[in-house]
Order: sequence, then C-alpha cells, then structure tokens
Amino acid sequence: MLEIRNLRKTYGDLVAVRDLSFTLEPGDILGFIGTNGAGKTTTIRMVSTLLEPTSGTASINGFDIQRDPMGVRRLIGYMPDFFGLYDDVKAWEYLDFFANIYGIPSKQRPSVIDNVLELTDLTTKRDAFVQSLSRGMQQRLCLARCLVHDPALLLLDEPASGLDPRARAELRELILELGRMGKIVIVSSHILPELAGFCNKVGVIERGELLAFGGVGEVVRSVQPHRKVHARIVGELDGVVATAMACAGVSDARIDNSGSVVIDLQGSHEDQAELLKTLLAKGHRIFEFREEAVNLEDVFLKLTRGDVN
Amino acid sequence: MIRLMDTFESPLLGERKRAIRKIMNPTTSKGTNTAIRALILLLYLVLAVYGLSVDNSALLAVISFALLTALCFLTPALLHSAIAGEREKRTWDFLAVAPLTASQIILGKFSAGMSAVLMLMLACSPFFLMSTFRPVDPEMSLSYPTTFVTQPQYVLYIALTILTFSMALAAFSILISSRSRRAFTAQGVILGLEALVLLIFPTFLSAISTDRIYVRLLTALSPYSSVSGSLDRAVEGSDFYGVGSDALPMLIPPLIPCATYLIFTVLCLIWSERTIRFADNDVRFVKARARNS
Ligand SMILES: Nc1ncnc2c1ncn2[C@@H]1O[C@H](COP(=O)(O)OP(=O)(O)OP(=O)(O)O)[C@@H](O)[C@H]1O
Ligand SMILES: [Mg+2]
Repeated sequence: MLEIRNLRKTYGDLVAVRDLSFTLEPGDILGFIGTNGAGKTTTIRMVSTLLEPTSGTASINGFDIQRDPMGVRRLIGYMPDFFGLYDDVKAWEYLDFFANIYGIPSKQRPSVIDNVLELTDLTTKRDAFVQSLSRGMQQRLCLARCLVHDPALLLLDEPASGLDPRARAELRELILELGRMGKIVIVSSHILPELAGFCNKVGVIERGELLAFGGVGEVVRSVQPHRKVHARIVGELDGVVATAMACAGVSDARIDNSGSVVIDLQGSHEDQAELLKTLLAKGHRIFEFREEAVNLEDVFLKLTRGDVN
Repeated sequence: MIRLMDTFESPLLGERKRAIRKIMNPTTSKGTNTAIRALILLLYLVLAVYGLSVDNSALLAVISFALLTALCFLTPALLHSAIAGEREKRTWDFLAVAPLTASQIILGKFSAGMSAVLMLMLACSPFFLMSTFRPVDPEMSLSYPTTFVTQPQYVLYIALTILTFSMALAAFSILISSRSRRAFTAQGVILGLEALVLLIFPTFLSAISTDRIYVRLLTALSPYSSVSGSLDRAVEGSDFYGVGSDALPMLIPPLIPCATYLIFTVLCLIWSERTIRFADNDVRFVKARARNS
C-alpha cells in the first residue's frame, strides 16, 4: 500500500508540490496527469527517495521514504522521464549488473533476466550492445531493469514517450498485467486517451495541487455530473425530446447537428434503462443507444482551466 | 559493525566487472579508450626492449618512473567520470534509486578503478622482478660498477609507494567527480591540481629554498622524490642514477609517504561519501515572482 501524506516540495518561493495526499492499494494503476510543470516528476522523485520532501512524507508497505529509504528502494521500480543507459555493455549484462545490485543470487539471475526480457519483448536483443538499441528499445530495457527485483510499486514517468503505437499497446498490456499481479503502478503521461484505457484511478495535478483524485468514473462524474447518452432513431424525431425530458433523472435533451438525440442524464444506470424502455414503449425506433465514453481529455481541460463545478 | 560489513560486500562490485570489460573488450571501445590502450601497449613494448638492453638499476629506475607517470594520467582518466559522468549521462538516477548506500557506491567505483590500476601494476611486475633478480652480466657491471640492486626490500617500497599513491589519486578523482556536474570539469580539476601539487608547487618550493627543513619534508612526500630516494637505497653505494640524492637525502623512511597517501585516500573517500548526493536536491534558479503568488 502506498500512502502519501501532505507531501510538499518548495524550491525557494516556488511551491512545486503542495501538500499532496492520497492512498493507493495493491493492484491500483494511477494515471497521473497534469500540465507541464505541474509537479508530476517532482512528486514521483520524492516518492522514489531521490528528492527530499520539504515536508510531509510517504510510505510504501509501511516503509517510510525518509526514515527507511533503503527499505523503500527495494520495493520500487523507477523509470525517469529522461535517462541514459550504460552503453558499453550488452542488454543482458546491463540487467545482470542491476540484478546484482538488487541482491538477486547469481544462480537465479539468468532466468530472471530472461523473464523480464520476455515481458518487455526484447528477447531477440539479449546479446545486443545497449548503444545499438533504438530509443524505444532502450525505453523497454529501462522498464525491464525496473522489473528485475519484482517491485511492489512502479513509478513510470512518461513511459510511453518514444514508443511506437504497437509498443504502446504492449506497454498498456504489460501495465495491466502488472496491476493484476498486485503491484501498484503510477504512470504519468500527457497522452490522455492512452491512460483512460488501463488506469483505474486518476489524479489530476496542477501547480502542485491535486485537483482531483479517485476512480476514473468518479473523477469524470465530479467534473461532468451529467452522463451523456446518445440515441439514434430511424424515422420520425418528433416527440422524442419531450418523451425523454419526462423521464426520471433527465436534465436536458436535444437533437444535435448529426440528427442524434443527446440526453443529459443525472440519474443512475437504472434510470438509463428506464429511459430506453420508455422511449421504445412510445414507439421510437432506436437503432443505437450509448453512453458517451469517459473522456479524460475533457476532464483534464476543464479541471486545469480551474473551472470545476 | 554490520553496516561496515555491508559496505565491504558492496553489491556495486559488479562495477568492477563492468570497468574491466570496458578496458578489455575492444569492440565496445570509443576512441579515447583505444588510444589509452595503444599507448599502454607501446609503453610496454618499449620497456621490454629497453629492459633487456640495460642493467638492472637503470631498468628499475625507468620502470618505476614510467609506471608512476602512467598512473598519474591513467587513474584520473579512469575515474574522473565515475560519478560526474553518470550525472551527465543521466544514469545516476538508477544508482541513486537502488538499495545502495553512498559508501557502497563509492567503494564500488574505487575498487573498479583500482582493479585497472592493479592490472597495470601486475603487467609491469615482470620488469620489477627482472630488475631485482636478474643475474648481473659481469661485462655490464664492469662498465657500470655500482649498479647492483642489493636491497630488494626497497623495490617493494617503490611498488608500495606507487600503489598507495594511485589509491590516493583514485580516491581524489572520485571526490572531485562526486562534486562535479560534468565529467570534463572533473578531469580538468583533477589534472590541474595534480600538476600543481606534483610540479608547480615543488618547483616553487625549491626556488625559495632547499635547506629549510619543512621544504624538504614537504618535498619528501612527493611520490617522485620518495621513489627516487628508494631507488638510491636499492642500488647501494650509488648516487649515479638517483635523481635527487644529493639535493634531497632521504629524510623520512619510504613507508611514511605511503601511510600519508593511505590516510589521504580514506579522507577523500569519506568526504566523497558525504558529498555524493550534492546535486540531487539542488535548487535551480527560481524567479522571485513565483507562480503560486
Ligand atoms: N531543481 C529545481 N529547481 C527549481 N525549480 C524546479 C526544480 N525542479 C522542478 N522545478 C519546478 O517545479 C515545478 C514542477 O516541475 P516538475 O518537473 O515536477 O513538472 P512536471 O509535472 O513533471 O512537468 P512535465 O510534464 O513538463 O514533465 C516546475 O515549475 C519546475 O520549474
Ligand atoms: Mg515531468
């Protein structure tokens, strides 16, 4: 379990991270989003014991980042936003070097290395020199390095930058798999659609302040309490709006340019089902009825402009 | 006590493997490494040819000074980037975030550098042995009547002086490296200070006076005068090859400079341990009108 309590970092007058608090349980995958300079990297570096917090603290499985940094370091895998790799060694030697540092007995190392290379899809590059790997492959090697000691918490600072769409999809799968294995994963990214796919929690940070935190659905609902339902109907549209408006939980209904009915729903899924039933009962021939997908980008734009409801 | 044990069983000893692999494996080398390797090989060949053609004490003098001078450059070349280079290449974070204490990192780096130094010393050891134990050619000893190595323990002192001096230099390189942001700056500072201490300062001192006792004491601490003192003793009864034997009679036994270098080594290592994280928490320039106002 990761517990962050009132974590704060100031640089002179500048408050880079302002009293951040949240908790994550094993299996949680947190999408950490924020504008440039919001304080994501600063937060992640504090949790990974690289930066000393000005005040506040965090603990991972009971190990405090300030009182027991060694214990914390054994539990975390950190992938920085910018990094270099030793380029005079082969991929497996690089991993072997770190496996040694993390105290993995030399007998187990070859199998551990093969496993992480497999996970990150680098098996074919096992004997290639690090300097001969492409940027994206180096990124994956770095991720492999984070995994050699089977950490409980992964801190990935913009891990997807530099990856091709296929590698991104694979990274998503890998992160989901890590979540299923019961690890806590924190992923910071600017590419929002990417996060929406696999995070179960989001944290939105701006100017060092956590504007929103919670389950993806929760956060989206806090920003847009209305769920939007799109209905498309064959033939007559007359009366649809009036019928919809009469249903429980509906706050607004209109017909948009493309001819589909957009209904703002404040109620539960129960109400949504009732709405569909009523519309059908009134003889409207619905061929599509869907709730608008969670749109993190909207949430992000709304929150970071400061216009939260 | 347990912490101390932990320190010596440094997991960063893998660093040693990496350093040796770097030196030994020519396919990965960059230009400078190849140049250094070529230079060492050339020096070695020249010594081998030369060693077989001169008498023992001349060989001892040449090999001692050549090795000492080579290490004056090699040790900083190996270690100037130990930490500054990692910072510069952004590989430092991975060490900083690993369960390693500062002293483990320092000792890992130190032992990596020293393994290379020891490799070089081992490569030179045949010359030392040859100069000490090679039977003297009667014809040669006629032409140079006083060039027997009669006191082999002084050869050992020379080797010890060179070893401990390069330990001090290695520790000093690590200290400067852990205090610098750029490998290049570290290299400049190390070589500059080395030149100051070994060349400029002694020249300056001898220009003021050579009689004052403190001047002679200070000069005796230089590895060059310590080695030349030992050379004179090794070749008994001769001051033919002893560079400074007239000007600087051996004031202090050769083990005192060695001890001094060892103390300096320990001090530098301790200081590096204290300062190694100096760049991690630094505050970059922040404008007064901070955004949170
Ligand atoms: N060493 C430092 N000295 C002074 N200010 C700093 C330092 N490091 C970060 N900052 C400031 O702290 C704030 C947060 O920076 P941080 O790197 O955490 O942002 P970020 O959310 O990671 O941004 P990005 O998305 O661009 O990576 C910024 O305003 C930055 O200028
Ligand atoms: Mg960042």
